[in-house]
Amino acid sequence: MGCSPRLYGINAHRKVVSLHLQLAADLRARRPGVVADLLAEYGAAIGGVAYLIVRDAADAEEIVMDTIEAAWRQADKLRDDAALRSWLLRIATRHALTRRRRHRTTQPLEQAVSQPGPAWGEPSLDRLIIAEALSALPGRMRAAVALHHYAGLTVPETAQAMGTSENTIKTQLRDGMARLRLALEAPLPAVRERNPDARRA
Amino acid sequence: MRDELDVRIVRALRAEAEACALAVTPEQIEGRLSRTAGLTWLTPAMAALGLVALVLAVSLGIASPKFASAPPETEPSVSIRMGPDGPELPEDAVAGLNAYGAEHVDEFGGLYVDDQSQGSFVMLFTDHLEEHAAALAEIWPRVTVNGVRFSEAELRALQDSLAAELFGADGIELLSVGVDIIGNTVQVALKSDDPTLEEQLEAAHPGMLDASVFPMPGPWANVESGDGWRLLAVADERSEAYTVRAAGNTTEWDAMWAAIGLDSDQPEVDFDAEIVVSFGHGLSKSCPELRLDGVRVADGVVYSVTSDPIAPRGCDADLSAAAVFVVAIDREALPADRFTVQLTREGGPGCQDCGFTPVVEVELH
Repeated sequence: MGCSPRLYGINAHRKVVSLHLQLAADLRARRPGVVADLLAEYGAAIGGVAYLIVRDAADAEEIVMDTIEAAWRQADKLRDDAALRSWLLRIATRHALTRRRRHRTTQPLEQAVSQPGPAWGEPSLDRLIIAEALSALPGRMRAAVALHHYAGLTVPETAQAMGTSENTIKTQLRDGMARLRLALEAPLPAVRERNPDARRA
Repeated sequence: MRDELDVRIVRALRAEAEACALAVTPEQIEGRLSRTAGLTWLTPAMAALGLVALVLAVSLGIASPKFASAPPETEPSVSIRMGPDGPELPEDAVAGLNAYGAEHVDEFGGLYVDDQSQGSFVMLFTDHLEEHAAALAEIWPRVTVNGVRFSEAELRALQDSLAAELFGADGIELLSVGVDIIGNTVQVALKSDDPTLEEQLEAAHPGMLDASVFPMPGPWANVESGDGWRLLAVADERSEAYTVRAAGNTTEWDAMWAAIGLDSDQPEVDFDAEIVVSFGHGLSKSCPELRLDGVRVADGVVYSVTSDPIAPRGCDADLSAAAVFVVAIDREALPADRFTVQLTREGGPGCQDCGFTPVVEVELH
C-alpha cells in the first residue's frame, strides 16, 4: 500500500507539559473526544515511528489505531502523566515489533518482490539512501534509531520503550548510525547489466 | 564530518517518516472500541460520574464514546457474503449478535463464521447455553451455540498481561501472542533458553494458554565440506540473488569470481578434478542470515541445501541482500556428461520477466 493523502497534520515534536497532563487526565477519564485529541497530538509521531520500523504504510496505520485503542483500554496503567507521549510510543513500538514478526511469517517472498513501491513524491537522494539502509537494519536496531533520532526520545526513554537496557540501546544506536553513515558515504552503485548468457558455463 | 552526516540522517529519517502521511481518523478507532465486546471501559471514575448507562450503550454498539451526549447511534453497517455465490447476511444480524455478546461479556467466548455451513454463525459461551441459544434464535435463526471454558474477555486479559510481562523480559524474545477464539486459548510463541518455561507458563494458566518456547539461536556456521564438495567462498553481492553459475575452466572461474564481487584471494581449483558452482540465494532485509547445510547431486541435478539458523522467525519480503555460496564439486560426484544446477531441490524462485531463472544447464567436455 502506498502513502495516503494527509488527513491531519500536527507538529510531532511539540512538547507542552500541560497539554500532556490534560490529555492524560482526559484519557484516564475516557472523556468524549479524547481519541481525536490523542490522534491529532500524537498520531504523526506514532505513525512515523511505526512506519520507520515496519516499513509499510498500511501496517503503520494499523499500529496507530492499535496504539490509541490500547492506550484507551490501559489508561489506568499510565503512571506518569507527563510521559504520555513516550508511553504511547512504547505501546506503538511493541505493536510494531510484534506486527513485523507476524507480517514476515505470512507474506510470500515472490509477492512482495513484485509489488510496486510506494508512490513517493520527489524524495531527496539522502532520503532514498537512508530509507534503503534503514530497511536493511535489524528490526530492533531500526526501532531504536526511530525512537531516538526521529521521535526524540532520550536513551533511557528509548530503553524503556523497547524493554531493554540503556547499554543495549546505546550499542544499537551506535551500530545503526554507523551503518546509516556508511550508506550515505558509499558511492552510488553502477547499474549492472544482467546477461543470462554470462551465467552459463 | 560525522556531525554533518548525522544531521543529514536525521533529516532524511524525518522526511521518510513524514512523507508517508497516514490516513487514520478518530472514527476508525472509535469504531473499533464500540465494536469490541466487554465492559473494559468501565472505570470507577466513570461509574462515579454515572456513565454506566453510556458505557453499556457503547458496548452494545448503539452509542459512540466520542459523542457521549449525542443521540444514540447505530452500529456501523456490516454485510457478510458467505463465499462468492453464497447468501448475504443481513446487516442487523451481525450487529445484533455482536451486541448480544457484549451484553453477556462475562460468559461470551467469541463469535466466528462456520465455514462448513453457509450462513451460520457459531457463538461460544461459558454457561447458560440453552438460554443463549433461545435468545440468539430471535436475532438470527442460524446460530449454533457451543460451550467453552473461558470467556473472550478472560482470554483477552491474559493476552494483554502476557504481552506486557514478556515483551522485553530478560532472556526472552517474544514472537507472538494472540487469542484463538475457536480453540478457546491464548497462544504465545517465544524464544528462551529456559527449558522449563513452556511448562511453567502453561501450568500457570491451565487449559487457557498454549505456549510454544523455542531455544535462542546460538553460534552457527556454514557446513564447509561434504561428500564430493567443498565450500570455497561466501559472498553477499546483491545482484547475485536468485542466480546460479557454473565454471568448468580457469577462464570461466575468473569471470565468475569477478561477477560475484569478491575482493579476497581467489581459491585454487583443479579443473581436471573439480568444477565450481555458485548458489546465490536472495535474503530479506529482516532475515539476513542463511546457513549452507550441504550440496546435493541427485537425478542429474546439483542443488544447495540451506536453512535459517535463527529460526523460528518471520521474514519480510523485501529483497535486500544475497548469500552466495561458491563451492567446488568433484567431477567424479557429477554425472558424466551433463547436469543441471539450480538453487534448491525445487528450483528456487526465478524471474522470467527479467530474463533469468536460477537454473543453468552444464555440459561437461
